Amino acid sequence: MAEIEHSYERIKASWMTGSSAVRHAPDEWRDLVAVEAVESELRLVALVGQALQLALDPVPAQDLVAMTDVPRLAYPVLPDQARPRFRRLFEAARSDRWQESTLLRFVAARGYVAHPADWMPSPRDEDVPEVYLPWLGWQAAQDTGRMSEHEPVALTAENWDYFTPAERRAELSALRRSDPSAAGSLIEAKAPDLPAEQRLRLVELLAENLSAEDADFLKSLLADRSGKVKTLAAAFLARLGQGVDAGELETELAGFLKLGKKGLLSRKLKVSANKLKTDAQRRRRAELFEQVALQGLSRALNVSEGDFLEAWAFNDAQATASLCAMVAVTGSDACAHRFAGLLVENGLSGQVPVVAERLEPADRASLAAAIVGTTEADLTDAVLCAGDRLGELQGAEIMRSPAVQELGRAVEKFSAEESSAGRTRRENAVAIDLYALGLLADAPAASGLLREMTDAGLMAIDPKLEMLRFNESLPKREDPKR
Amino acid sequence: MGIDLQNVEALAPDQASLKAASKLLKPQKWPLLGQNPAAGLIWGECQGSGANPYRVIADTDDLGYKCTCPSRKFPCKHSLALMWMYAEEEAAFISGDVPEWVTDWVGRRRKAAGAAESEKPPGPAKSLAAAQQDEPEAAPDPRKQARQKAQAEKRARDNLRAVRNGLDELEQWIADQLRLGLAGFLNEMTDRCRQIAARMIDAKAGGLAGRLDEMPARVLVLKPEERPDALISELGKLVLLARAWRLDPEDPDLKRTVTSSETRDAVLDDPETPRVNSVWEVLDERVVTRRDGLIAQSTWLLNLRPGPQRFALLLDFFPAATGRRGNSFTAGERFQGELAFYRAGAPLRALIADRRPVEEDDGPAVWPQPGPNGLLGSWQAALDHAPWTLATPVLLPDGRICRTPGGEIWWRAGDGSGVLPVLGDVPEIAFGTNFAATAGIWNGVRCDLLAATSADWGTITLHG
Repeated sequence: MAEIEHSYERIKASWMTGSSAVRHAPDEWRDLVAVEAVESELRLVALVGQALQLALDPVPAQDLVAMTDVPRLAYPVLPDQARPRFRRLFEAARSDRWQESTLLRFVAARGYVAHPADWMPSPRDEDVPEVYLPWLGWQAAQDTGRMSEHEPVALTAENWDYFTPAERRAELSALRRSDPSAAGSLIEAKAPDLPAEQRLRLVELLAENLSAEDADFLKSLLADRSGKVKTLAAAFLARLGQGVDAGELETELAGFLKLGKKGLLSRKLKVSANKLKTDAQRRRRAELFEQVALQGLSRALNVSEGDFLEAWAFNDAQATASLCAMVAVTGSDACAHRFAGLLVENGLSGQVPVVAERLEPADRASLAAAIVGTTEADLTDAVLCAGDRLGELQGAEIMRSPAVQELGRAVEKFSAEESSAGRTRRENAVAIDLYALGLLADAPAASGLLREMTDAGLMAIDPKLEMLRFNESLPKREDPKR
Repeated sequence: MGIDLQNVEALAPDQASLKAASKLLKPQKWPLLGQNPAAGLIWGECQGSGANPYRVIADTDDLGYKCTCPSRKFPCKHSLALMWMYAEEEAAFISGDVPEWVTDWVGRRRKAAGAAESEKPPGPAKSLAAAQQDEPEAAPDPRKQARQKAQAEKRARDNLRAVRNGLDELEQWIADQLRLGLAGFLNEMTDRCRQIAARMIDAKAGGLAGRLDEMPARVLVLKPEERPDALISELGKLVLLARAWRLDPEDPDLKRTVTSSETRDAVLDDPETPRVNSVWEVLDERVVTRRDGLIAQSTWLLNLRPGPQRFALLLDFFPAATGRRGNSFTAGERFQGELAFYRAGAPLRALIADRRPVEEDDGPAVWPQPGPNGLLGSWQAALDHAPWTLATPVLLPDGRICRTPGGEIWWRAGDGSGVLPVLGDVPEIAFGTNFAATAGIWNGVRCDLLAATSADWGTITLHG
């Protein structure tokens, strides 16, 4: 064998340069190739070709490295029968990160995870449900050459570098819930060494259990190199009632608003936005809403923050949107919660997702249910509001929704229509709402909706019903970890 | 709306389509016929002239239709036949859940396409009755028959001579490449192979022409330092193939490799055709566009019952100009069926002779254990039978997929008894589990992994 290998190198070298290789044939082949010139080369190439296919063992040039096993997650993978539908839905959502993430959160809310052959997070994914973090760790280990996952130990300043950014966020988020002070100290110690974007993502975690104890660190961040970090720190300080004094700006913004009274008897306070005549005025007002904190504006109007929000007249859509953003960024938790309710009561559910980020999961779920119950609700807003609490709305909550009743009528209408651009538009709108309902409903409600929609004229296998069918086929597991 | 015979007649693009559809009305042509009245859908799988069945769907409400065949007629004969059979005997269509491939089509189609079709202005008169009438056969003319037979024999002799001359030319060409230097050949491989492939077409050696045309793709996919070895193997196999053909030009395997393949009917009618009835699992489907403008559709099957025939390959070719064709199978799908194998020393290429869904009565079906003859025992066996074989499926034992620090992918046996370099990429999950068995296609240099089973994650398709 060794002789063949040795001979082969010389044979190959001859053929590469166009010279005869027969003289290099190993001894045992000599008789076979001892014929006239052309024939001898042909015989030799036939023999060498076979030897190459059979005799030479492939050997890697470098050591082979085996990854550890993909870890099992806290939830089981989707049942086999649900996987094809998940793959189809995920494929359809692939161009939209939010849709992908929402589908994954729905699956997690039901107590399952995707099969790793159908989907695995990329190491750069930071917004996947927490249940997938072990896979992110496994992926990161592969990328960084850390060939195994770390032991399940708590994050500390000493072992910081052993965790991926997503793992750190998850650890810090949990720590912030259980021991806000310890989490704050760790963030304070490590944030200055991180790049701006990572620093921002870390400081964002202080939103949970934000307290006066964080104020000193936040004040130090007002001098941060990153504008985004500075803005976030200022917003957090504002929530704590320690906002930057913007006296002149607060007064200027207050000048765009009018205080009055409403009701003949009760004479309640009313704050309305002045009618503006020019775009320049509108732009200036929007700028001021971005620069002033809710607390400062209330002070300039000489009312409490709560009273100000209760008195808001919702008479100017642009001003309301600006106020909504202001509350989301600088309002206290109580203010954010109250204003979200006021938005729903005033039929402005489209603005609710802006402040929903500030609410507790249970509050978000109730708010989503409230949105579904409003007239002309945009069901996608309800999904945005629900956060991780997907697939929970019960049949009664859904069926009494005017939006859902309207949906049934819309299906009946376009099912009877001829093909046209108008019909396509209406069908697409229905498809978006049905997808949202598929994310919001619990499994029995999904079954009820499927019946309603097929009775209204949709084919049972209409792709618009795919999310509802997936929902129906995936009853909630009894013991999903929360 | 519903489907009736008048609809079928109206939808047909011409009388010839109806005539062709009438020949497909036999139940044995349709291993699968299904319907879901609630969804207003019927579907079927029609065994056409290829190895992979055509999948046909029709919407009974608006007469929309879809078939995976490459026909440019709309509706094609398969769609017409499906609707025709439904109009005549609805009970032949088994009611059931809508299969995934039908759901896929419903998701992609533009509604009312069928309705629009039915509203097109009427063309020349068409008739179902006329389509079913047998055309009168002219009385046989003995002199004409004798003349035709003599012409066919002369054609066969001429072809044989042409192939023999072509193979002489091929051997001379190989000797020329060695004489001129393989370094230069590697630089001009595509052009030189194209030229000799064209000569082989002229010499009636179509199979060989396709092989030569695809040779650069097989060699140039490798790392530069591996190409000379691969090229030498390719040239050596061509020499062996030419010599073997000269010894026995009538051998079916050699004939298929050098000239052209048998027709489906010839394989099915041949009493010596090996037939295997078993439960088959679809490992993967590969679709490759070839340099000669054909698309090769390969469906790899694994036999889940003990037996001599572990793998089967359903291979079809169709013109690229007809556009992308729908998949005939889904990876992981199983069916019970009789496969008819093309005759060969180590049979692999097959046709589906009969097929039905797997039922519980069929008993458990699991991946077989890899054979005792080492990692590449089946490769050695294939080369023993046909040393010009380019690739053969292998079933690898317990093992794991690893990477080198440089990013090369290798399969490694669990007991450390061997390693194989992997062709192409694999999904991430493949690196994170132990596989009890792995199926792949070994080409002497790389293993193109198809699928594998893992205790943790079940069967996984490994096409990256």
